[in-house]
Amino acid sequence: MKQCRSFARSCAGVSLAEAALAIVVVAVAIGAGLRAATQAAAARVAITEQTTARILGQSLLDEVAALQYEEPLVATTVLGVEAGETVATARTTADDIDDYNALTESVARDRDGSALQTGGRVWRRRVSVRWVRAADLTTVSMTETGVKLITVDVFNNRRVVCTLEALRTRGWDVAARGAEP
Amino acid sequence: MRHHRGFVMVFVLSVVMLITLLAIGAVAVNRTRIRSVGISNTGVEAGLAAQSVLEMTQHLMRADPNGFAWRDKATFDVSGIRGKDAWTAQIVDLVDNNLLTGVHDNVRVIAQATRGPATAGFQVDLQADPVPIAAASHALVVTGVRAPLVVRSVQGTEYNAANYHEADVTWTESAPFVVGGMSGLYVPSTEAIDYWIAQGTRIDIDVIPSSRVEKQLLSPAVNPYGTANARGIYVIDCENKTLRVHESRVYGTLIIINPGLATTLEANSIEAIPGQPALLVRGNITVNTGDNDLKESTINRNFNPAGAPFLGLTNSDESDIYPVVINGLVVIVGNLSPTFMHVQGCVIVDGNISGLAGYLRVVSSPQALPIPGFTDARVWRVIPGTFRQLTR
Repeated sequence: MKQCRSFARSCAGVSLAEAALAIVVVAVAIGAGLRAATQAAAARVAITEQTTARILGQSLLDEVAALQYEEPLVATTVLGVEAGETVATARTTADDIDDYNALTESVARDRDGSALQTGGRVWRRRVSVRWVRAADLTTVSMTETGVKLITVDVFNNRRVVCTLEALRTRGWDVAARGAEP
Repeated sequence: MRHHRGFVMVFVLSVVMLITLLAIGAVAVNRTRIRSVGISNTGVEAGLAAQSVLEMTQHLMRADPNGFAWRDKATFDVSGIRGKDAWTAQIVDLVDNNLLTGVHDNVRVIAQATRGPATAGFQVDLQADPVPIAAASHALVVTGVRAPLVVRSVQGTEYNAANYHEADVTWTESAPFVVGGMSGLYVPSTEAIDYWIAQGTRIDIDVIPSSRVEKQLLSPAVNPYGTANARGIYVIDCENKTLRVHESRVYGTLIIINPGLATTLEANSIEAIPGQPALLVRGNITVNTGDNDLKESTINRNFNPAGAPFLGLTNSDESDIYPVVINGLVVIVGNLSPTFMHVQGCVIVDGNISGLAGYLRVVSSPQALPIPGFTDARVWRVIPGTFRQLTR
């Protein structure tokens, strides 16, 4: 009988410990689950942000790169728009790459000037076009080199989310467009 | 009691395992999605880089349209000029898979860029669109100072050297004779001459009896001094010895380097194969084509056997008569002394023309141009419909 009572007490103690341990384990597991869920939500936001930024950046970069290397029949000495051209809102008058130099949007717009729908967020884009040296593309030149580096930065509010770069050369225009050298 | 305790444990552990699996799954899914977005973005960047490689390839090819710097390598390794990406451009000859022959063959450019785990590539085919050098629109271009020399046009008009030196007479269709004070218009590049030397078969000056090529034929099928060159390009390195080429016929290209004093071409018929120069000389030379035709019957030789047609015909007799004319592009990097020289084509002298009583007749014949090494920068054009994105 004594043995039996002792055993029951022992069994009861183990059960309490087990229950307590179970509660802790469950709590930890739930905490981890919540953390995972939180991370998932944050990741979804980041993924959406990255994807949107990339699409916005690529679309503008494609728009710039599709233009001809330089203004026809005009020797370019300063990178930027020529007389009669503007990229302030609509960019339909832009006809060569460097017209986009120093373009900074207050809100992302398409080529005809319409604001892009971006889910309530304020997206902005900035473009720089620079001459770079063919022998060292990291070196900016102040004069014509035949190679232009296009850089598009995409901002979510004031934070750069995405930066894309591409080169355009006069040589490609000559080969693909038949442009006169 | 025992039964209940076991049930609780199993239940709790099951719940914990379930929650853990869900959490692990969620974390794994998130990581995968984030990684896939990252790879997708990197892929976009790699694609832009690959397009940039194509752009740069065009820039470099345009800067060196004859490919002196890239033909022997068949690649542009442009990684070093951008830094973080691995950029390469491979060039493939689409005609004979050999970039060192036929510099106007169509080529394929295969551009690839790797950024992180992503690799992107594009290819495009290009066709040569060679434009003759500006000098080709003139019959005679001399960069140096011309000594007094009587020069007569094909219409018989004689020009005084002193006068045309000052007047810079320009060739026109109606007056197919050209003399210009054209210093700076064109200087044959070292690479151009080197290119043709590399294409040729060398003839050792010591193999030529008395250093005199006498009544011989040099053609794609015939080389009396060694192995024939399939394009008829022969390089004689004179090693500063005096060479004489007399009453001979060259059907192809004759290249003379390091000529000794009084090296002379006399009474020869030199006819370029289309797309090749006729005569290249690195050094000083005297040319006297003479005014008498070269007759097979007189020299007892047949100069138009198989592989060396004359006026489109070959035969084995000795009845043909050849005009003593250099037919094609003549480039002399040195001084030219023409005592009596008749050229049908274009003469470029990167040096002086000298001779007190010389006679030089050049009839411009630009149809034989352009010739590799003597073209300007507008050379390559994209063949429409050949732009491809590469996958692997």
